Amino acid sequence: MLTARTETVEIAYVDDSEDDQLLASIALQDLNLPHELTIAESAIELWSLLRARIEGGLPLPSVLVLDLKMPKVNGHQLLAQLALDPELSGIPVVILSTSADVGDQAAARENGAVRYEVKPSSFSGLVEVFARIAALGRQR
Amino acid sequence: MRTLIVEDNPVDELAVRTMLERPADDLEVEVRSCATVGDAIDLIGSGFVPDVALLDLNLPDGSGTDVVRAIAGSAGSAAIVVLTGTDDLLGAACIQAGAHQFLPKAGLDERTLRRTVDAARATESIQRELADALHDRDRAVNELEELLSIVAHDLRAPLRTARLFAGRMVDDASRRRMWTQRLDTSLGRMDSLVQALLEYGKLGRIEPTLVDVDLAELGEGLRLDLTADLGERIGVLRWGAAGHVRSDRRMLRQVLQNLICNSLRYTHPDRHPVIEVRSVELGALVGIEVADNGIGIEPEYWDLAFRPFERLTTEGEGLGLGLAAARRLVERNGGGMHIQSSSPDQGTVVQVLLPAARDSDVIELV
Repeated sequence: MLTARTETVEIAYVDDSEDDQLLASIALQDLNLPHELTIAESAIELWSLLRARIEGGLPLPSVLVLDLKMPKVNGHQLLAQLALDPELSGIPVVILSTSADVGDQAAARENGAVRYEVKPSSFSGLVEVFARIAALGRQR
Repeated sequence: MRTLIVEDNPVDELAVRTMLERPADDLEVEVRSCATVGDAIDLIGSGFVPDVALLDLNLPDGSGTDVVRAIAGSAGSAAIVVLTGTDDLLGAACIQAGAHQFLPKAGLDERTLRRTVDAARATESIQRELADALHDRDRAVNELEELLSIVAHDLRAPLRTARLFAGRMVDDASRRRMWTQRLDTSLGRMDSLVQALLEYGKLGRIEPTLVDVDLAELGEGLRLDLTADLGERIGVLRWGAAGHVRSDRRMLRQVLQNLICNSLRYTHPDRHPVIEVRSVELGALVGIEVADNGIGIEPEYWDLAFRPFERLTTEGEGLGLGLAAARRLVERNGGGMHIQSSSPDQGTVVQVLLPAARDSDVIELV
């Protein structure tokens, strides 16, 4: 018997650019999927948010989306920190960065990111990126 | 001219020493001799730094190119002349190993010896200048490449969003107004970045004019300038710096203005802002300190603060060039700049170190 899954996918996205935050929320609206978008402005904010959920026994996001170049703690450092945490290392992480640098991609893969997406220059491209991200979240 | 002779044959040592010690020109010559490589290295280690080293190649504790390498490695910027037999091949091998000239001992006359020493000193000095210049160039190229990649990234970010917003203006007519505003903001940011970059590029091209700068006077001028922009907010600035430093006046003013603007930009929401500029005498140097009670920087990010286009917060309007430009200007004036203390609890103290003015410095009339 098939059971329809109506669970909402929660995407937690950290990016210091307000423009990118807005674009992500509109791209997800356009996708018309049941979703919840949690936005953090810095690596430290996302980290505290996740730790607070664990302390409070609350459900964790289905997928994490990380920008790389952020003030203070960057995406690579956050990714490494997440991989070391036994309670958080199970959440799939997607890197979403303007950098198409192979070094950045290799480092992200090494630190356990499941996908590396280069920020697209078109809105339809961005919608496709978030469709892939949401699909990853639903697999969980 | 401090001269070191490393020669174990007393007859040869005396011959060379006599030729060198005979008064010539106005050059004062101090000659020290030793008979082994070990003694020579000890002598150098004890503080005798030779301008010229004359080396015999067959010494009790070493021979040939090994001797040259040992002395070249310990004698810093000494010009090295090797005293050989008649074997020119060995001479060439010594040049490879770090000697600057070689000279057959047989039939040596004073004129040839002096000429060879002069030639060795000239060669050594050119080699050293060349090595320094190459080192500086490598450093500059590295810095430039790093800057280029940061700039490319920082310019691409608003460019990319601008394209997205322009696309939305066409496809999402109901929110055209919002997308247009966003597009305009992105383009404005790119414009500011390019302008700041042009300014930053200029810093390396203007030569500083080093004069005696009176800090109290500089403070008055800065306060007047800033009052035009800040109005009543100028009240937060307390100028206690006094004394005289040796610097380019306009550059120093720019540096302090950047630091003060930074302090004004990152004030703490719960504290009434206070920015204090003060000075401390540190021997031949003067430390100018810009202290604020703003949001501060945690110690682990101090290194990042001076990097061009590196921003430690998304708050405020900064582009990430203020501190980098200030440091570059200070360094061009022969000074240094660092964060002396900073924490979110207390704010930041940035210290600019510059040479104290000397009596001979030009006092520029303002």
